[in-house]
Amino acid sequence: MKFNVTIASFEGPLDLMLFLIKEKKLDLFDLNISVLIEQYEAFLNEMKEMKFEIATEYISELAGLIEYKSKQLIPQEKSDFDTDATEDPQSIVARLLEYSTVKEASVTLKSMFEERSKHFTAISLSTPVQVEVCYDHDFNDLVKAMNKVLIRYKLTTPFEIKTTFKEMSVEDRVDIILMFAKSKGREFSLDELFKTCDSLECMIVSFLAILDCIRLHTLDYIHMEDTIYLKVSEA
Amino acid sequence: MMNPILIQQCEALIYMSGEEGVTKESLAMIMMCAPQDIEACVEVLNTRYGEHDSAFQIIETADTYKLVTVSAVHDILALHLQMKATSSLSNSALETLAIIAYRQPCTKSIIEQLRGVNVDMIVRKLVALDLIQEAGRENTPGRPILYEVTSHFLDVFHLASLQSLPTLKPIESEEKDLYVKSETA
Repeated sequence: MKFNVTIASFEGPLDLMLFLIKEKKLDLFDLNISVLIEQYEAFLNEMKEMKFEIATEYISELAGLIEYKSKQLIPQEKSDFDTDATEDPQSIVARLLEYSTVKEASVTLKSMFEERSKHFTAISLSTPVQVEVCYDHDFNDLVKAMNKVLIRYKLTTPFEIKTTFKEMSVEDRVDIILMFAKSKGREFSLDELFKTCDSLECMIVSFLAILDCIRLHTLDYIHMEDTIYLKVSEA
Repeated sequence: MMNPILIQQCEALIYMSGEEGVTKESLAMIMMCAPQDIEACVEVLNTRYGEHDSAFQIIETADTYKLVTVSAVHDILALHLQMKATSSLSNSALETLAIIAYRQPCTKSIIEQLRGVNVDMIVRKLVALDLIQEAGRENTPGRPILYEVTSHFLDVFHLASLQSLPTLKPIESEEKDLYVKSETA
């Protein structure tokens, strides 16, 4: 049998199955599973011959399909003990149907995403600060805050073109930050600290330094709404 | 007819809130009026922007208003901001997001079952991008983490709420006899 290999990247075994169904013009609502299995197997074999690496997910799905096919060959006798969770045609078809709706939805989402990314917003001009101490430790909040700082930095300096080599040590930055914190003598916001940075490198080193300080418990951090506050640990 | 001062105040407050946006509730609280009045103000402003070919428009995502530039000026702004091609989301990210958005809260295993691939990495990335977040744990063996989409998700897809997600194409009525037919396959 002649087989044309399409080199496209598939998002997973279900994506490949849907592709085969479309290409071989099979009807998803009246699916001939054995034809699909043959096509699927042939495709994977072709990939193997062409020395493509096949992800384990595809092979595991193939195993499920073959198991189903082999069950078709032997006379079926329903036994009460036969309640294993092997793949039956219903679930394959149901999964394929659901996957195809998801795929369709993701295409719509993609265009919505692209449309929205054409709208810009300006940097917030006002951030009312309300200080109220509540200790809450969540690593993701730090990451979010850092992302916010980076976005602001990018927006305020749109025309920066520089090639420089700088060496900065996290240790030195830790000392500077601790000095800064001690001179403040109270909680200070992450934004406040990053205002003292003059470059992106400095911001990154500062972020690493803060993580280090938190790890060593020399700095405590407080998280309120969208803002992170830091202060020298009392312990 | 809306009070012109209210409209003016509303515009100023939304303008000042910038990329973070301002919620309908806080606008109503600051301006001491009903949320419905705010909605009316925004409508007047958007009509006004439209009539005058303004560079701005107000969008609503997750009950938050933001003043954004219109897509017509995207190219010139992208040039000014020296943005390389608009970063997009990969297909696997979009598929994963779609599953979570339509079935939330849901566990990783549900996504894996649907997509047929391992989703550990992509879920971690989506959490880091602030598009999804943890929403407690499911009361099943292993107590798996449940995920839901964030308000940032609503923003980047320009959705007022999850209800405004595009409706899924319903699976045709053939579904019923489908199971019978495929068994004879």
